[in-house]
Amino acid sequence: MEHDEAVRLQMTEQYLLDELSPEAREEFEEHYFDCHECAVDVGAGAAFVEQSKIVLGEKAAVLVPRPAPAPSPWQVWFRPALVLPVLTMLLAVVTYQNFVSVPKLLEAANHPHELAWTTVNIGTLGADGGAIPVRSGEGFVLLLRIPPQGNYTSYTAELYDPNQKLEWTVTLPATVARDTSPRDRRAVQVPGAKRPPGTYSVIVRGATQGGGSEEVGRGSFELQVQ
Amino acid sequence: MEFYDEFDDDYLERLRADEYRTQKHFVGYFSKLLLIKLKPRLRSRQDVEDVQQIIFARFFQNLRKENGIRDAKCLGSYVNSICNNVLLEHYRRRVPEQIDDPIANTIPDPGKNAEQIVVDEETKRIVREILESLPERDQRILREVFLEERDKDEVCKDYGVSRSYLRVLVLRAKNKFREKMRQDPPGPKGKAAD
Repeated sequence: MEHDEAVRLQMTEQYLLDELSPEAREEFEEHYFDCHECAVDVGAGAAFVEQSKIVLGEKAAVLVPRPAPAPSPWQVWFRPALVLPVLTMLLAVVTYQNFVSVPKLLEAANHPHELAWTTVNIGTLGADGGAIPVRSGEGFVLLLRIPPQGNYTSYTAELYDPNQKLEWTVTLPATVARDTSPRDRRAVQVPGAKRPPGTYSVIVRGATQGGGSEEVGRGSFELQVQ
Repeated sequence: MEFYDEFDDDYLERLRADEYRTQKHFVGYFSKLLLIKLKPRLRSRQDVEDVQQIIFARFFQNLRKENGIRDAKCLGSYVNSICNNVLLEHYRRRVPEQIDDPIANTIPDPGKNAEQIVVDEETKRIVREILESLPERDQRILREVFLEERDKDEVCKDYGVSRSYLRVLVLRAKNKFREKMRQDPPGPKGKAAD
């Protein structure tokens, strides 16, 4: 090892801090036993460390305890300055839900009320359905007329919005449909949502015995948002 | 070095001739280096002193041999290589169950003469000045690394600094120490540490 290299690599400091591998330590020892400048440097460093232990030991008794470790990024989010406002806000939301929203929803669920409805004739039973006037966000009922043809194990009704985007699907047991007369209707309650007005489509598919699926028919209705 | 610039043939001849001042310098110079090297490797101050004695005895024995030490420039390497051999012999001799004895793992300070006590006190004063000139955080880092011997990675993590910061911190403190020792050498005779 050359002197310049030892200086550049801060070998003295690494040696004093016991950071060197056994091989590197031996190589550096071999060097500083021959290199007067490094020997003086190591000697001074070792003396400084030795005396520092005594001085710092004396000071340790009067120093305040070491600071808490630097918080991790996750711990930053749990500082009281952030947690308290967030908890207060959550408390307000929970209170509002408990005393305003939930009672309203319970009242709506527990008390009878009229829903807008229309009949949608599927396939051969008819063409376009009627219009349903609803308030924004309000649900409604579709009365689906499904022709009792074929030997389907079940039906699946799909609702498409005016942009022909599938909104939901619902499975209807076929046994009930087959047991009813052709003029009977299947009531499907559509939950409230922010829907755009326009012509909505309903496609009904029947599940065959072989596990396949085929279209039974389709219908439509006009949603009028008030 | 006090009265010569480097180990040369003249120095080697004076050693061979049992010149007291040269021998004293040689032993004093290498005792410090051997102490630094041996201290972390041996269990007690007594072991360090015993190994040092063997090293110097073997060196002076070889010095007088005809085919012994010839190249004065390799004097340091020679002492280091004797040290390595003596250490290996010492390890082989050591009783295995004593190796991990934690009680014996401290090196008590041997008796000191009055001059050494004065030098130590002066050195301590210089070190105290340097440490007190450091920011509070750096003092804590050094205390936890050197005094408490905490894991260095953990200390760096706790204070949000890198290992290279720690190295530079030691380098700067050591350089200040060297500078002050040169300007204001401790001891009644004003003898420089260098």
